[in-house]
Order: sequence, then C-alpha cells, then structure tokens
Amino acid sequence: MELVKASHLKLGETATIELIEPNENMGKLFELGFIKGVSIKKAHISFDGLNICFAINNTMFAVRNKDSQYIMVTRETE
Amino acid sequence: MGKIVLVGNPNCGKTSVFNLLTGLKSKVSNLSGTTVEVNKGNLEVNNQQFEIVDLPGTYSIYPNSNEEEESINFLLEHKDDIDLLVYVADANQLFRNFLFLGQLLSLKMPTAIIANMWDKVNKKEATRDLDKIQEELGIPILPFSARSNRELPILRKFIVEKSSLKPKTDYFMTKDLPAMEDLIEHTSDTNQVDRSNHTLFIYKCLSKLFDKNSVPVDSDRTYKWDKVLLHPIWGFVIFGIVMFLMFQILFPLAEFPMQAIDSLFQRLADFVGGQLPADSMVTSLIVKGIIPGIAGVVIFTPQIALLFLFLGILEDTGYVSRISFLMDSTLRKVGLNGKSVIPMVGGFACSIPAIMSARTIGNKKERLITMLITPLMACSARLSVYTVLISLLFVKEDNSILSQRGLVFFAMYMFGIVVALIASWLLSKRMKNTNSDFMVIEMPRYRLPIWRNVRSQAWQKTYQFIKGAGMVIFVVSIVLWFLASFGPKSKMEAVSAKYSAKPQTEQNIRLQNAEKLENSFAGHIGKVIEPAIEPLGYDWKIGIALITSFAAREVFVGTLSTIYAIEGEGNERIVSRLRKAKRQDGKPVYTLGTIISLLLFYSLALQCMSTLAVMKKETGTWKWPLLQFLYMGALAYILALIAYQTIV
Repeated sequence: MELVKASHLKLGETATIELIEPNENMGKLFELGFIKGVSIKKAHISFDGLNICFAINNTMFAVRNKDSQYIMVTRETE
Repeated sequence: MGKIVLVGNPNCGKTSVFNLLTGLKSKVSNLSGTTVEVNKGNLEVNNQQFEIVDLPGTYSIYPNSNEEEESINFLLEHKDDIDLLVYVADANQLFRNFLFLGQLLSLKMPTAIIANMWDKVNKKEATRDLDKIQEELGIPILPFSARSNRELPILRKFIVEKSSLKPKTDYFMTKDLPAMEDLIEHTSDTNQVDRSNHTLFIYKCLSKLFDKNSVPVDSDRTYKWDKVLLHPIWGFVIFGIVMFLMFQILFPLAEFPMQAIDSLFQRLADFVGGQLPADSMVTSLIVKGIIPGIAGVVIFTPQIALLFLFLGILEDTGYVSRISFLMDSTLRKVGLNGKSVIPMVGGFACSIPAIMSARTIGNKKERLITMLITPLMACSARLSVYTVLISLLFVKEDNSILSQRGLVFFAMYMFGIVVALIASWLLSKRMKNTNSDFMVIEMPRYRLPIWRNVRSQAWQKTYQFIKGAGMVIFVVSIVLWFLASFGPKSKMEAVSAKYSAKPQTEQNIRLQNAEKLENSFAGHIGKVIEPAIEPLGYDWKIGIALITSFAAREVFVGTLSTIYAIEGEGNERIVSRLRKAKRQDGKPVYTLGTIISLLLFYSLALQCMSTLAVMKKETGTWKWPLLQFLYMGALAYILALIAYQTIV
C-alpha cells in the first residue's frame, strides 16, 4: 500500500495511520491519538486549505495543514 | 479535611462534576479549555469534610499551554496530600482519554474513574470495556452522566467510599523505558524520544483494553452538521447570519422589560419624593442622585442578560470551536490564532474572563496579542453606552423589519473586531515569535444547550454586572450629587440672589438649576478639562462622565443621569434629557458629530480598571497593561477627534 500524507487524502476519505515523521510536534500528535494503526478520516477543510479537520478515535481535531504533513497514512477505501 | 482532585482531558465534564459535588456554579460549556484556573469547593458527606479541587483539562503530563501547566504543577506540588484523584473521562473517548491516566498512575495516588457522558454511549459495548478496565487496572469506575443531578447521591457515595483505594500501578510500567515518575518530575527537560516512546507504550497497553477505535460515519449527526457549518463558504455565511441575528434580536426583545424597569424607577422616584420633605437635602440626594444613577445602569439589565444568554447558547452547543476553525486562517494573517476567537467572543460579554481564557493559546506571542486586543471587543459594559447614544441617533419610532438601531449596533461590534484585527497585525509586526505555532482545536460533539448551565451562567454574569456596577454607581452618585449640588459659597449665593427677584416660572427654575450646576464643584472640574475634550465635541458635563467612567464604562450613563436629574425637573428618561441638552450658545450638545465621536471613543478607550488588573496578573508586569491603556486611549482620542472635526 502506498504511503501518503494525511493532508493529501480526499475529503471524506478514510485511512490508517502508519507513522508520524519525526518533527518538533511529534509528541503532541501522539498524545492526541495520532498513532500507528488508528483510523483517520479527512472530514473538513478550511476555505484556503490551510486547516484540516481529522476525525480519529471518535473525536474531531482541527490541525494546521503544515502539521498534518507529518502524518503518513495508507488509504482504507481504495 | 480530605483533598479530592478532579483531573482529565479538556471538555470531559470535570467542572460539571465539580459543580454537582460542591453546589457551586463554576463556568461549564461545550468548549475545550473552559476551565483555565484551579477551582476549589467543599463537600460534606456523613460528617466527613472534603475539599474538592477542579483542575483545568490537559491531554497529557506535557503541558501545551499555561492552564495545562497549572494543572500539572498542582498535581506535582500536592501529590502527597491528595486523598483521591478522580479521573474524569469522556465515556465516548476512553481510549484517548486514558493516555493521561496511564501517565498519572505512576504518581501512585489513590485513584477512581468517572466515565462521564454515559448517556451518550453504546451501553453494551462500553460496559464490557469498563469491566475489563476495572479488572486490569484495579481502579473503580463509575459510569455517570453529569447532565442530570439525579445520580448525585451515587456519585457522592462512590467518591467517599473509594477515597482510600490505591490502584495497581504496574499496568503501564516497563523496564525498557525511563521511569515515568522521573519524566513527570522533569517534563520540561524530557526529550522527544523518551516522551514519544512512553506515549506509544501507554497506547499499546490501552489497545489491549479497548476494541479498535472508530471514525464517524456519514450518518453521524455532528459530522453532518459540520458539513454545512464548516463549509468553506456556507460556514462563513452562517457565522455572519448568526452574529447579525443576535444583535438584531437583542433590541426588540429587551425593549419591553427595559421600559418596565424604567417606569418602575420613575415611580420609585415619585413615591420617595412624595414621602419625604420637598426641600430636604436627603430627598434631593435620593431622588436626584442615587435613584437616577442606579436606574441608569439597571435599565440595561435585560439587554446584558440576553447577550450573556445568546453567548452561552453558542458555547454550549459546541459552535464556538467551529468559529475557531473557520477563522484560524484569517486570524493567523494578523498574528493571532484560531483559539483567539474564544477570548474575542468572550470579550463581547466581559474582557476579564476573556483575557484569562487566552491561557489556552500555547504560543506566547499569539496569546499576548490576543490579550492586548480582547478589550477592543464590545463588552457588555459598552452596551449601556451604545444603547443611549444609538437611541439619540434615531428620533422616530423604529418599526422596520431590520431594526436600524440593531444595524448600528451590529456595525459597532464589527468596528471593534476590525480595529482589533488591525491592532493585532501592527503588534505582530513589532513582536518576536519565540516558540512553536502548533495548534490543535478539539471539535466537541454538537448538543442541545443544557438550559441549567446557560441560565445559571447568564444569571451569574448579569448579577455580577449589576452588583459591580451598582456599587460603583451608588458611590459615584453620592459623590456626584454632592459635587453637582454644592459649589463655592459666593458663586452659588450670587446665582440664588439673581433669580430670587424673578418670578418662579418653570423656565426660570430650569435656568437657575442650570446656572447652579455650572457654578458647582462638578461644573468647575468639568470646565478644567473642557479645553482637552472640546475638540471632540464634548461639553463639561460629558467631561465629568468621562472622568467617572474611567473606572468602569457603564458609569458614563449613570453619571449623565445624575447630572441631568440635578439640573432638570421631573423624572424624564435619560435619552429625552440628552436630546434637549443645549450648549451655552443654544445649539444642541448631542449632534451627529458628538454622538459618533462618543461612540468611537467608548468603543476604543480602555476604561476598565479591572481589565488592567487582570492583564497585570496574567502577564506578571505593568508593562503590557500600560501599553494597552495608552494605545487604546490614543486611538480613541484621535479617531473621536477626526470623526467630530469631519462631521462638524
């Protein structure tokens, strides 16, 4: 399965988190539940694409696009 | 006295549990980061006394913002004297919520878990999870719903009975990683790798306790609502409509109760005036000093209560987080952050809690700028000033579908926002960014507002407004009455002598009162500052109101009510009195230029001592409140000057 950035998912598409690329906010992403094996859905996007809402673990988190670049996933709905 | 501490992730209902246990009414809403400081209360069960402590929510032991840091520091400082750590978790999100629990267990404190929002979970699956967790961790769990207080006796019993239990603490331990308790003691020095490895280890342990996590399906109600409310175009349109409607509805809804309060105070003044001797000082003090002054503030209670009610509904439904998401991109361009929306919206009610709520913003620069611009939001204290001034703009009855006064009101609120954004942009150019701009906003599930919470918050804030402003205006009214009723003996006697020979007609009485007021102590003070405010279109009476309202803006209307009551006869409404007010040359005081100038001045000037005090507390220095006072004051004076000189 091809690894893609979570930000590159289509709107409404579901994927599985494979890894978080090392970055200064990696620990924070882990603490919010962005960990390997978790299902993630790209739920909403802001008007300029700079913010994305991801649904994980029955919660919805809005993060900035630049921070979501480190979340690597494989598509579930392909 | 036993110490029971409530901890957990943001927005899991800790403060609702706290309110139920203590009977207090700390603020709760459907918004992450509502609690930004440590709340304390008491609980008595079977003659046993407990101190209940409610800590701000945090996702983990590694704080990302000031209020999270406060929680962690409290736990570390008090870990040896905590009798029970009550871990409150959202029953719908136990997997993620339990990361923090897994970290805290290494502190070896007696622990109990409340699985809150139990009314919203699939009971069959969730009960199976809870049984497994209780067995594996050795920690008692109470399925609970803080929405209703019917289960309060069970909650009280649970907490008291479990307060002496120590949990098994080896479930989240491994010899392969540095000890968790060491990491907790030195969170700021912990490196990313140790931190991440520990987090992943705890999640690995948790995955044995829970079935696989899930994402919302298309039929999920919150997901469906968000498709519209977070839509790149419709989201903004709906946000605009919500705000617009709020200010359109405010005026007509508040009109009737405002008239009723006004009429009540007029009757009170007539009654008191009729019962007391006509020429006594006490009658004058009460009828022309205290009653008009207090009425000038209390009359706005319906509008303020409605505003708090509307804002409470927005927060309790979960909509405010959506506004943060919508606005983040725009706010980032001017040096703010999507989370700045929470203090900004809160600033419509009152800047003091709003500035404190900026603690949830992790980035120091963005937090400071948010605190500096929050007082530009049109707070409830400005509502009374705006109401009087906007009413002066419209002479005729407003029966149109779109209330003209509502439109001007909306424009004033928008003006505050626009100036705040410009000020923020300018400030961000001058300040350095010293830490990460990582931002995450948790979007709570939509829910119907809990009427009990919304009503209680609106009532509490309105009561605080009346109590705070009432006390100030009571004292100010007495002082003002004295200053406006007495003056240098020779001058006051000269006025009396001038009119003693003239017939006591209504016009002569009014002229005599006006001349006495002008020669009173208040008149002299007003005349001293008149040269500075004359270019803004203000006379000395407005000058007095500017001075008294330095402590709190709402005192402006009360001051004018008292001054004009002393000068005039009868119990006319303040708006009618202001409409008739004339300058010495016979021209009206409240022209379009003066009204616009006053609106601009009051929308921008920082006339609130409490805001300055809370800024000092939050920033730890007088530098920032002083800067805030000066930049807002300068802006207010310059724009008011330009407006008056342009319109006149």
